[in-house]
Amino acid sequence: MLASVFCSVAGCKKYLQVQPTGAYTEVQVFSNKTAAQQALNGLYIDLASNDLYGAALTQTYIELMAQRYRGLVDGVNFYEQYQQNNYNAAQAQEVFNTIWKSAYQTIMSANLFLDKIEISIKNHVVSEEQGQLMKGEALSVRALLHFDMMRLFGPVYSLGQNQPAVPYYTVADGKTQPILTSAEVVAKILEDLNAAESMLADDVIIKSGIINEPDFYTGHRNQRMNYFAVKALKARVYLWANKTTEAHDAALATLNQGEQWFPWLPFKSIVTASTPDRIFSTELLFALYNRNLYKNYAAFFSPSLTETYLLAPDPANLRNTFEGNENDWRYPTTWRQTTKSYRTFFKYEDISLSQPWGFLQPMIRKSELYYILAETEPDAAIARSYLDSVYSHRGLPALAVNASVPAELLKEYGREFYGEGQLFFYYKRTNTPFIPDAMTNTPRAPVYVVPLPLSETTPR
Amino acid sequence: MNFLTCSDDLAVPIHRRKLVILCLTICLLHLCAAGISQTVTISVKNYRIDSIFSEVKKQTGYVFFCSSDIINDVGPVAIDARNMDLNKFLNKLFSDLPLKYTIRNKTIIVSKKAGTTPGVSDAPSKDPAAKTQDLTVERPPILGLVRGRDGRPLVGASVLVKGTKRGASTDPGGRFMIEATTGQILVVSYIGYKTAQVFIASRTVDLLDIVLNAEDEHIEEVVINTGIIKRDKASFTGAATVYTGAQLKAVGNRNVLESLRSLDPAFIKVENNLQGSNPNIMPTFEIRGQTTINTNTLNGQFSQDPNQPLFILDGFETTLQIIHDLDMNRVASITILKDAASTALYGAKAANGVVVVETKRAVPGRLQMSYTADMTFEIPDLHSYNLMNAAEQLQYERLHGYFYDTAGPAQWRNEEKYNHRLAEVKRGVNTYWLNEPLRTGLSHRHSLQFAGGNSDLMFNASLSLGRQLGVMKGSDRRTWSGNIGISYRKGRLNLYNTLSLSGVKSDESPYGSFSDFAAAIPYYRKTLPDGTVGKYLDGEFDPSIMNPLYNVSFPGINEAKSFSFFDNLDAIYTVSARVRLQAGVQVAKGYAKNVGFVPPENTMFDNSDLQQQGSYTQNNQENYSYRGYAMLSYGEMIGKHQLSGTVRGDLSETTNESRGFSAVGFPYGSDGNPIYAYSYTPFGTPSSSDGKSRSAGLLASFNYAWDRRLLFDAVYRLDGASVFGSDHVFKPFLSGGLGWNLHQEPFLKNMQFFSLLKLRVNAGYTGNENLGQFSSISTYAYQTGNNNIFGQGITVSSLGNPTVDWQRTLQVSYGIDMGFWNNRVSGYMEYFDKKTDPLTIGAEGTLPSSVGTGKNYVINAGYLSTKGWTMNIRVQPINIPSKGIIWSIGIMGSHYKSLYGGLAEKLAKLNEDQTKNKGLLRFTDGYSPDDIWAVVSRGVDPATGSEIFQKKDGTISFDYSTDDIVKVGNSRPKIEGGINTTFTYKNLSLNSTLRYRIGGYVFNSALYDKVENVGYARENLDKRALYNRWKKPGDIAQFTDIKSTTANLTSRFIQEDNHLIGESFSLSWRTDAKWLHQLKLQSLSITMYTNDIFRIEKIKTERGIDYPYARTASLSINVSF
Repeated sequence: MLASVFCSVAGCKKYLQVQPTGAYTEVQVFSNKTAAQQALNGLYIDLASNDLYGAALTQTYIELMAQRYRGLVDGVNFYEQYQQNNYNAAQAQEVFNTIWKSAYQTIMSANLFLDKIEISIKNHVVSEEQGQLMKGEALSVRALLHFDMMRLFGPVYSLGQNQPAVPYYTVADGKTQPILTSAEVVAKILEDLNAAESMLADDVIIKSGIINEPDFYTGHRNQRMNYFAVKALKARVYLWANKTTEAHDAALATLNQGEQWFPWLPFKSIVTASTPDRIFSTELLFALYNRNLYKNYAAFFSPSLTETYLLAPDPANLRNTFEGNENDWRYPTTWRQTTKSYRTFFKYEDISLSQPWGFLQPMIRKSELYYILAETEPDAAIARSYLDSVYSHRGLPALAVNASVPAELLKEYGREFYGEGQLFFYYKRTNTPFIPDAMTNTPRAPVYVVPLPLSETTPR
Repeated sequence: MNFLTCSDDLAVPIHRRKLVILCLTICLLHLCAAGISQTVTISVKNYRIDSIFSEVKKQTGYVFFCSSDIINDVGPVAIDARNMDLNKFLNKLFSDLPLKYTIRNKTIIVSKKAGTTPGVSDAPSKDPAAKTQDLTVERPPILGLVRGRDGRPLVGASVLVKGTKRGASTDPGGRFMIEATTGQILVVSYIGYKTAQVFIASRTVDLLDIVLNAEDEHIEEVVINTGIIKRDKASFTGAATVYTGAQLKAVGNRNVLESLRSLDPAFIKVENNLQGSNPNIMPTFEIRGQTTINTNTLNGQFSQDPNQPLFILDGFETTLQIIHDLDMNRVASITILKDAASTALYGAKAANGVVVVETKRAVPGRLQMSYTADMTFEIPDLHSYNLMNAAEQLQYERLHGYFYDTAGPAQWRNEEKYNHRLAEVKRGVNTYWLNEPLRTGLSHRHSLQFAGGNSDLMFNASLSLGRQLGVMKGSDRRTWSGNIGISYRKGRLNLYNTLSLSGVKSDESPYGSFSDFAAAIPYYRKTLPDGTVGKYLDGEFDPSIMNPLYNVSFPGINEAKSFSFFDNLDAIYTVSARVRLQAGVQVAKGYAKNVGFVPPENTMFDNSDLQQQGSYTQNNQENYSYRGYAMLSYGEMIGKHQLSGTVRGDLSETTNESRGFSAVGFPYGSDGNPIYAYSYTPFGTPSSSDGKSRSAGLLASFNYAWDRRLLFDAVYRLDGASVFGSDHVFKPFLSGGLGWNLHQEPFLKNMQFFSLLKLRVNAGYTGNENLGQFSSISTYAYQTGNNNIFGQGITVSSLGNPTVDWQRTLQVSYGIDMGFWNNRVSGYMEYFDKKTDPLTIGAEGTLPSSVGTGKNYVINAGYLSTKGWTMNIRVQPINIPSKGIIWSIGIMGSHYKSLYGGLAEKLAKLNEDQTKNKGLLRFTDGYSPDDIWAVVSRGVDPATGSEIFQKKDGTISFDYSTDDIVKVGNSRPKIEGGINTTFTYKNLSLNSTLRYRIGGYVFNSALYDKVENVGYARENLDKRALYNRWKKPGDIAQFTDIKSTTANLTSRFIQEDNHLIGESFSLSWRTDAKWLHQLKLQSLSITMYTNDIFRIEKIKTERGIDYPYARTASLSINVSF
């Protein structure tokens, strides 16, 4: 009676629906095309944060763990903890915790996106084709993050594929998922990647390559989880799981179908160029636009930094890596001696902004597919020829007939992926018992498994 | 509006016998007299007489007064009048009717002509007065007002002319009108009150003011104002206590909350040992313990203390700060609602109890004015500080061994240093730093109140202005307020409007934290030899030690200003004596501004860039709210059955907004004007927050009493709030209660021994809405400043949990109210069991981080149950009303115990954080949130001076391990409360309140920080660090080796805190003697108070770390004109 004076139940409900200010509800986001796109783009911005591929998993901590730089004691960044594999040191625990949390929060965002974009498709906010493309990307972002969390926190696959590794989340519902074994995680990753591959079947990159135009669905496809990036990632996953045949097939299929769009970088773009393309950008199947890239250069690699803050390799170590070969396109262009008495790392130095590769953080490159082919090819001669294909575009001579493919691969991972975070995982995948120590250059037994953060294990 | 519809609804049986009912509609509206013509133009046929009356009223402003049965007998009337004089018109009108009239003061009183009133003339004519009846009706009737002792008008009271059958009943304003003559006696009776006989001595009195005393003294005081409905305590089954403004003022004049705390055992102030008596820090209060987990870890996102009670001011929700700054002289009463039956009216907001403040309202009568001046001395209370003097400090440092190490290459320097300091000590340098930032603060407050008006239009207004000077120099709180209340009555409609404005300006002391001065070493001088204040105390030997006075010489700004406005408008329409309709609306707006400025000279900028020295921050907040309600209430007495019911709907919206910015880089000597800033804070962004919440509720309450013996209460509330999230917009809350007035039972009623014996029990659900605004749907936000080639991105800022259940508290309460020997002994005891299930907590740390929910995700986990009792017993050993001597003693006490349950390992991460951060709390099933956890200590080994720890298995060890942490105490006392004594002799009244606490444990931070665990910091320490620490083998010492610098958290630092505080002593004198009237004064009262004047305690710990506690002495003078 009196209630009706105030509000009928329906009207009252409406009265009580208050939209939060300074934030957008999921309803607002997914009923607006631009906002839905921005929600997908948010995943890439998350990936490019310094806690993930913006620095931690490409330039800094993961490379310190691979003995790339001298871990000098500075009392601020505690770089030595990673270099000395003191993963349980308080500062290292905090860093790994942040990496872990950022990764899984992005996974949660991707899962929420996958759930909600269905509504946008149903309501014709985005077209069916656009929706499929976005879903494919979100699925592969989810797979990528799970894969790297497994690579970092899980066991060495060949030793413990049935040991617990990491949990796998496919729904954003606040419910805890069990920690799966590496084999189970790999199966889930592949499932996601296969689904993503079929969703990306109409990706414009397949027919037209990379279009440097600002269209959200067709432009800059190399800066998104595109069709070829997904296929290449599959090859990386198969190799991690010791499925050499599948890895070989996946790498070959990617190259056969897509190599035309990722041409080798010409000599003049790197060695003689005034703004050298030090990231070999044309060969990148997937890269992240990292707004902080040049800020990070100034914070980690700039020769103007004091010794204790500077991430730089031991000069002898660096010379060994490049075998002192000044003809290597990746060596004198990227490693220069300026104000310091040793070479420092210029890969991510600020370049002219007009270059299309500005701000790019390499994630998956073509050469890796050749390395996969070489590693998984039983015929040594063919394997060498795969490596020669890369070498001929790096200013290196063709391999001798008696050259050991695994030994060359190890060297190549060291040279090719500086500042890209792949070397540690190469060591881990092959379970290399001793690697050269960053400080002393003597063999050191690395610790490959990073313990799960306490924030993960304590509440379980 | 038709004022002459003499409705039968107002008819109330006056007497048990069959009587003629005289229903009087009182038409007391003679406001718009001026400017209204005295002529009438009416031309009608077949018109109802009451319609004619109302037309006349419209044209002339004259109001008719009649009884309904008179009019009912009159048929349709015809009249034709043009610009006819009123008198002529009336003569004409009444000439053909069996009615006559008299005019009195713009009121036309209509009665029957003699011989035509069968109802009245049937009255027994034995009484001679009846014979004069014809005479009396010629005269104007008696107007009167019937009130209770508290000034509340009594509705439906019966008024009878003694010896006749002539009677009337009071209207909703307590007013009545009856035909009676001088010498007659009016018999006024009302249920629950003693019947009064009033002799009509003179007819010249405008309004007969009749005050009824309650039949039962205990009941009399007690009308429970829940802020929504008023309840007679005798028929109420809930736990609620009422304090009048006078009672509150008798305890202290600081603020109502401090006084309330002294009076009520359930209203507990949570000690803030850091902030002491800082006038600008809002205290924390709890009613009946806690209902939710209160840790910063969990409640970072919650804006308000989730255990804070709900505050209601004049029927509308308000903030702690408004109540804190409320002018005490305005307060009419405060009611504390504690249990489910009383708080369920507030549903989702009520889990922590409700404090209902009612301000004084206008009363009719001539203009009254009163002025109150309060003056308070605040004197710093440093008795808890036990710091070393210069000689002791130096001796300690030498024994400690680190500072003057006699080995190694620095030996000569150490010796030089020591000897230099020794020389200073010998010279007599013994600086007392503690008094440097302190003063005796003189606070004052002035309050002026006006009230007056006639029975239709009344007003009251108040103005107050105050300034509180805290015990730290520069610590200042200025408050002002003004408000006007207007009460307007028109027939059955009552309107009441209050407009209120208030403002606060607060300044923090430029001396910063008091602890800096407590830490300053006494063998240093305050000034350099040239008399100036140096930057360093010991520039030569230890330039790390700053002079705490140095920064003070460059004063910054740390101030907050706020302004608030609100207007309440209530309308009450009395449909009939049984049914009442009420509605109200409040509009409120407030502003606040905080400014902070640290000048560039401050030592905190010593290592900053020149362009970043000095900082300025400003934050502006604005809030706006509106609230409204409509309510229908019903009440009736049918024989022995007393029924009442209320249906109410309400809604509200609150909007908050805040914006802030900061700037850096000021030139030396600048005054903090941001125009001189070099830039905004580098990489800083403006701060901004917005919040809007709405709520709507529906309430139904029902009460039934049988013969005032058996009582039943039920409340149902359906609460809707935007903070509940989209899936659970509405929450139902239900409560019910039963009561038994044993003293009304025949078998006890005849025993004079019991004046009151009541048993009550109730149970119900309430909720806690303070838990902030997080929703069950996910929200996104822009990733600011971080675009990529595709532009901006948005990311999930909080994941929604559609399944989260709102926190609900089930409370079961039992109570007994009693009074013996004519209430010479009275009091109550209450026991309650509160269970909050489920708890709603932030998921951070409770879910594996891989779930990826972030810190805003909320889940349900476990429960918290609180059991406790409170009691309040009052004894009057002496009560001689004839001599004006009354002495009474009251003892109150309370105890609470809370326990967690159902948490299992969900909060294990939080426990780990506690271990890591040396926290004393744990979240463990079966334990209390108040439990203190540490390793058990077995004392200090006399041989080594090391501490001996007890491991979990009972064995002892020198090795400290966090695995051995067990519960070592509970911070809730076994019993705490107050002892109150009042002694009144005529106009003099002495009041004292002592506060006691027995059996609770506290962490003695002075022992942990200033006796042991001192590290290598050079600061002034507790004397015990010198005298009571172990020095050589064989020493039986309380504290470890004087050379050790660290200590682990053990039970040695957890001590039992029993204390007795002289919370309040007051002496007041009040007079309305004749000599006052010669001064044109009505009354004068003077009260002297002392508050917190002493404290007797068992343990010695530093109290008031950042701001000391104060003892206060005050004087309050009240004059009314």
